[in-house]
Amino acid sequence: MVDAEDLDAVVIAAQSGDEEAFRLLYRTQQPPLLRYLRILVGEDAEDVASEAWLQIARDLRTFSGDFDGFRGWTATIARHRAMDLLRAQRRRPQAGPPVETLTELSGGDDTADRALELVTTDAAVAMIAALPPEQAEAVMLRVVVGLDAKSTGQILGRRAGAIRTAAYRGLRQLAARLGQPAHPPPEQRRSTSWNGPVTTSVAPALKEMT
Amino acid sequence: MTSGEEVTPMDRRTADSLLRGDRTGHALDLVLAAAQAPATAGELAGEADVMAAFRAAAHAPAAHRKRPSALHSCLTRMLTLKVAAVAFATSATVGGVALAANNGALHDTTASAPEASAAAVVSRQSPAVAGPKTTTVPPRPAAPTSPPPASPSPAPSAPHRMPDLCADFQRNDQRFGEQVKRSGKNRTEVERFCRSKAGSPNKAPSSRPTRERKPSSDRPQQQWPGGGEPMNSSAGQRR
Repeated sequence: MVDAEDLDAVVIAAQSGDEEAFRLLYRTQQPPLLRYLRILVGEDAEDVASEAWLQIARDLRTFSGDFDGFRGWTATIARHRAMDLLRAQRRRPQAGPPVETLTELSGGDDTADRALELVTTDAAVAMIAALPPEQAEAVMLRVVVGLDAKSTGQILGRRAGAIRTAAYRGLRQLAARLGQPAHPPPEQRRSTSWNGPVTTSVAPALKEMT
Repeated sequence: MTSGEEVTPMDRRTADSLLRGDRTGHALDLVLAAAQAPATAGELAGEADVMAAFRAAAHAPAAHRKRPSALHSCLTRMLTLKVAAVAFATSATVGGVALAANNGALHDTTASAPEASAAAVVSRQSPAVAGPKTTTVPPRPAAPTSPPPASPSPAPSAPHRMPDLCADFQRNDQRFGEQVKRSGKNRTEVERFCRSKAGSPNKAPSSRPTRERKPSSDRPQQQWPGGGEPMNSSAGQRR
């Protein structure tokens, strides 16, 4: 991962026409945008993301700000394009697949414990997408896109306090749907294998996607 | 899976930590971490296209064009249809003029006759009276001492003769509209005249100015439903 300060410089470099800088911005920001769009437009997320990036590439020179600002700016563009599509299709943000897919997608392991460790990105996004729309958007913009409550509120047209509440409720619902016991998981599972399950979980997700 | 928010306590402090991306020991850690996982190859599949767009934007002049909005393209389409409808309506009422144009009579006479175009305008306004006149009585050649009053100082590059106007029209010249206005002629008349002069119907789409056409590469618009040129000439010949 690149530090945020470095990414500030990358934004400036990309604005002056540096191709590699822009490539880095794309690789950094496309996954969060795509996952955010997934909860808005479901299967159309790739198409909408492509449209958004065409606009980002074209209008980058008009943007002014650091990488945090770039995150919010791109999320705003992505959301506008998604709303265009939804308006054209005259439908509301669609709910994701049911939460039960969480275990189906997670590799078919025996125990629920193991399944949870191998939760894939797709499954996690689907789980968030199953929340009520305002909660799902608040959680995605804050956790995945990495915006603070204020920026999220600006994108969604709501106050920061409302965003905090929506995100909080969303997390509570997620926790409830997970149905996990009240006590935190054992310490060894967190410390030793923290990065392991998450990164290796990408492989089965990729296999299933393609 | 159990339901009910009481099963897992999620206090505000834990939620804030989760939202900040901290590890809390809560089971949601894994879910949120998975949602934040690094990019997969599939997610970056569109990189080449995006980079091409970036390159194109970098080499484009600074005054980049805005993406035409849905409202804008809709209005453009409506305007196009309206123009087509108006053209059809006028061609129906002054078909005689079009017929004359096809026969070459109008060409010969209006080449140097502002009155002829004035007569054509009159005939459009009152076709019942003036329509037959233009067909049966060809307008006489005008006296050369009658310049259009609308142009007090005609520029040397201002062609008011119909062939010159048609030349501008054929070139899709931006000056066309201005020249027509300066010459005091009716634009619709001149366009139809030039189009009928242009001859073959399949030349029609390319021989008219594309002023109304907006660059929308994703949706090729049909400017003239049924084709403008065939509509005019056939309407004229039917009469």
